[in-house]
Amino acid sequence: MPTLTICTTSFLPLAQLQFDTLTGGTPCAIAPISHPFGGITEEELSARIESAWKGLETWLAQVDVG
Amino acid sequence: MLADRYELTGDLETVQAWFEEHGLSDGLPIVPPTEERVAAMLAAAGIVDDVSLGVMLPAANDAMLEKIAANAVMAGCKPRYFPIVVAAVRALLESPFNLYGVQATTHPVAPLVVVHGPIAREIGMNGGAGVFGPGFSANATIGRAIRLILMNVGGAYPGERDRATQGSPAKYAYAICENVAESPWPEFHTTRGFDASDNAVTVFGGEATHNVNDHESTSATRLLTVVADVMRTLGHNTWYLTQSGCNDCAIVFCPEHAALIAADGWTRKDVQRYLFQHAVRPIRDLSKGGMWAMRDWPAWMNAQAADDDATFPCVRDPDDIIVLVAGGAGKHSSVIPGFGASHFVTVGMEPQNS
Repeated sequence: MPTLTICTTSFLPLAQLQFDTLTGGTPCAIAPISHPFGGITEEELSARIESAWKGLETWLAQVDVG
Repeated sequence: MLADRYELTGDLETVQAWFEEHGLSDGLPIVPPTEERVAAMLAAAGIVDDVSLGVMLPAANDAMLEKIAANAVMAGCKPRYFPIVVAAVRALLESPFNLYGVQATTHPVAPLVVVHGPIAREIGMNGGAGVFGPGFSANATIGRAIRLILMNVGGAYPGERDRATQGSPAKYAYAICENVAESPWPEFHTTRGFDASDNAVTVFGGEATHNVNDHESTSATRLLTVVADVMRTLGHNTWYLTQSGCNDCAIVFCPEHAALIAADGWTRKDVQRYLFQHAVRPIRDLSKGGMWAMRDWPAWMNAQAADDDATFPCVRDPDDIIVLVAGGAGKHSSVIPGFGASHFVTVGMEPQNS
């Protein structure tokens, strides 16, 4: 199943390492969001969701979802 | 699958530098894991075949016995400690412990290893004065071996796959036994289906110790009110990560506090029940805490989230409160809050494949 991981920037290296470990090197699709994710205002959160959404749209345009 | 072999030349400092450069150290000097030393470690546990104890996350490497032994050598373990290290690794790999979460979280959780049974006394493990501190080979090197294994086999290097925001001194070495001679209650593993004469190991994912100073109480209820207050600190994960079976807390009573409680006729089970009833907070407090919006509560708790007066305990079941007795003279006990997404595991010590 095509999968996209939404991840904050500080945790991108961990996400990439774990993706490599658990999938044996399958290319990892990640939509990054600026860190941190917690303790921010609703406006800041909306802006970050918008940013991640663009990554999701780009990925959906590329992936073959069968 | 044999561990890789490297031939290093030069003095001890050169060897140390090689281990540091290759990210195979906790920052302290290591004992070089020569083939002879590793073989002696394996032999002490009666291990003949190099088998895997399971896949260790987050790196998803097989926890091969030879690699476990190499790390025990590096930590300075004596060969007779090795069966304990092996048992502890088996416990860490049990599903309820959630090693993946413990290894990769931002929370400062470290596995506390509690050694039970005659073997703790036979190897000189310290359950007395300064039980969590320095000065005792078995405590220091068994605890350190576990950390090196979690890093070098499990891949939990700080800032990489170990994402702990601040980490914890407990991540260097965190291994104890109970002060059986001065405890009023049977050793903990007897509550988990073992006989007192059995050897066993418990692993518990906890924070560092939080002190309970009480030099004045003369009754179980007054003392346990103070203990419950330390358990109730709003900063614990356990208020918000509360799914059943993934949430626990350890209380390590000093012998004088334990004797005071037992003098009132209380059993270990009574202590668990009392603390479960009193280590509680109302919604009006919990809703001000740092993970309120992120809480992972079951439906029956969420159904009461709008009731300011509803109260909840910091663990889900009295049996999730581990009651131990350790330490020396004086009146300081410890509360060790759990990670909130892990449950303690006790395993027996058995021959591997001799």
